[in-house]
Amino acid sequence: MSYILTDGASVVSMNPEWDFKLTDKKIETVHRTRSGAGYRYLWGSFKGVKFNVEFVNSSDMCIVNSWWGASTALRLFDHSSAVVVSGYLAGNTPPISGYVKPYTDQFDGVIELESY
Amino acid sequence: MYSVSSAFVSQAALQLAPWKRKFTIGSSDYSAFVLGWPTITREWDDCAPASVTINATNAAWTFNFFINDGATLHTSCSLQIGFEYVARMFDSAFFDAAFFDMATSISSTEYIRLLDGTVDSARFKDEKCSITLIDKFKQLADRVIGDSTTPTNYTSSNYLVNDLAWYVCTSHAGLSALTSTNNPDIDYASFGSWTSVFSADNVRMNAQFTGQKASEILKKIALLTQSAIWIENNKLKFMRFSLTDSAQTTLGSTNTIDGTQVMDERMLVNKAYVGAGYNVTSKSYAITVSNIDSASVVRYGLKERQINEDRIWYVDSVSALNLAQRTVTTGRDLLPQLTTISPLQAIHVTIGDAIALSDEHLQLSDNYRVMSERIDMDKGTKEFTFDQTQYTSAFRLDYSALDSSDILG
Repeated sequence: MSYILTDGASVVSMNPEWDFKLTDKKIETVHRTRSGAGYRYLWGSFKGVKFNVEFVNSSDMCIVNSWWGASTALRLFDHSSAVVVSGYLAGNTPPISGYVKPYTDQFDGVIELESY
Repeated sequence: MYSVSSAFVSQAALQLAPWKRKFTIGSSDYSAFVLGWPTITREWDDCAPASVTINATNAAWTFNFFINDGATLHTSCSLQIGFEYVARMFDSAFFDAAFFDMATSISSTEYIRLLDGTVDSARFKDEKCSITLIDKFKQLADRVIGDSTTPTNYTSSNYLVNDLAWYVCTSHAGLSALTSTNNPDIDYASFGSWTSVFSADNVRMNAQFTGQKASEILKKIALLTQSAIWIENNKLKFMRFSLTDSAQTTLGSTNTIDGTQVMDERMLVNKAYVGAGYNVTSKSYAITVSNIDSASVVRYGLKERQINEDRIWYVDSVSALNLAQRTVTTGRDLLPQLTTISPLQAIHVTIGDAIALSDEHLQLSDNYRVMSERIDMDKGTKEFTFDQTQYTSAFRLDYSALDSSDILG
């Protein structure tokens, strides 16, 4: 799987691991009346995607982590150039932060994108 | 009742109603930044300005304009809930999904304005901002009438209740004095009907204000006249409830989440004393009238109440007796107080309206008047408080008006 993460100016290609997971969460309240009738009020929803990446070079690592630091609006494209999720990198630590043993110029991390 | 179309009522009744909530400051929509929507409460006899707090994200410094210019706090803002109606120009059966999406658009919107006002305060902490809104009737609580050194006196003649209320709202609180239904602050149609009640009964008052807030005086007027003075459709509404009104809607087990019923003997009043002709110098009442319901005394024992107000008072015994009789008429029977929590299908029904309630557990099936409401914009529920003190159904015959006998048969 080859995906592209971009802010419209810079482009980072990445190959997600097989833990790639799309999420779609509803902001909804559900009421059950005394007779059991259900009322579901959908106020909104948001999408997300989360996957591990390995073997990211230092240049791409810096770009991705700077996007995270600046809460830059990003788009993730799949292999057919369709937008999977438009959003921000979530989390309170830099997404790509570990070395891939035994390399000192290859990194791994978790890309977690949530729609805006 | 909130002013809504029949389409709104139909939408609201849906179990999957596509509600939209809106928070605006000036002409900008800040709904997308709201983390928690507030609960808005109103009561039948209290026009104190409603205050609510909205928690919003300020991660992108969205609300920092309040810090940069404090005057922006005074920008008008609103909380609304309602629907966006979608026009479908083509039948999806004949077109592919993409075309169908293109052929749908929002044709109109309809929102109930739950609160119109200004920002009272904005508190910033980390990436969040808590914004407290206060409705546009804030000036009722901001302004005081008279002071203890130079009181504002309404003692030179005997004033009709409605005239005093008008002076408080317009001359002192600064609400619009436009005497037509175009008045932006006062529901003039309801004020006109309310006026006719006191004109017909010739109920007269005097007053001396020594620094009371306008909202406090209006609450005293509501108490002394057993009137409802509340905010509806962004206007101050005045009403003395008639004995019966047809039910606007029905709430039963299929559309009620929870319900409680309270029988509280402290609500009983079968003998009322009302002071009149207050002397501001001697601080005493020249007149005290009373009214008693003997049948209620036999049934429940004597339950007395004294109503003496020293900032606004009745001038004669006839006017005071009007209140004493009304207090006993509405307080002589022990009637249930009910609270229900429902989804939003009856959101347009509000204070003063009647609702037909039925509940198997509480064993009730009757019409009740809405006395207060709490709209939880976050959960999408509406809590109603009902009682029948200000509502007498067709089957609760006022026998005292017939032959003064307490026993029918």
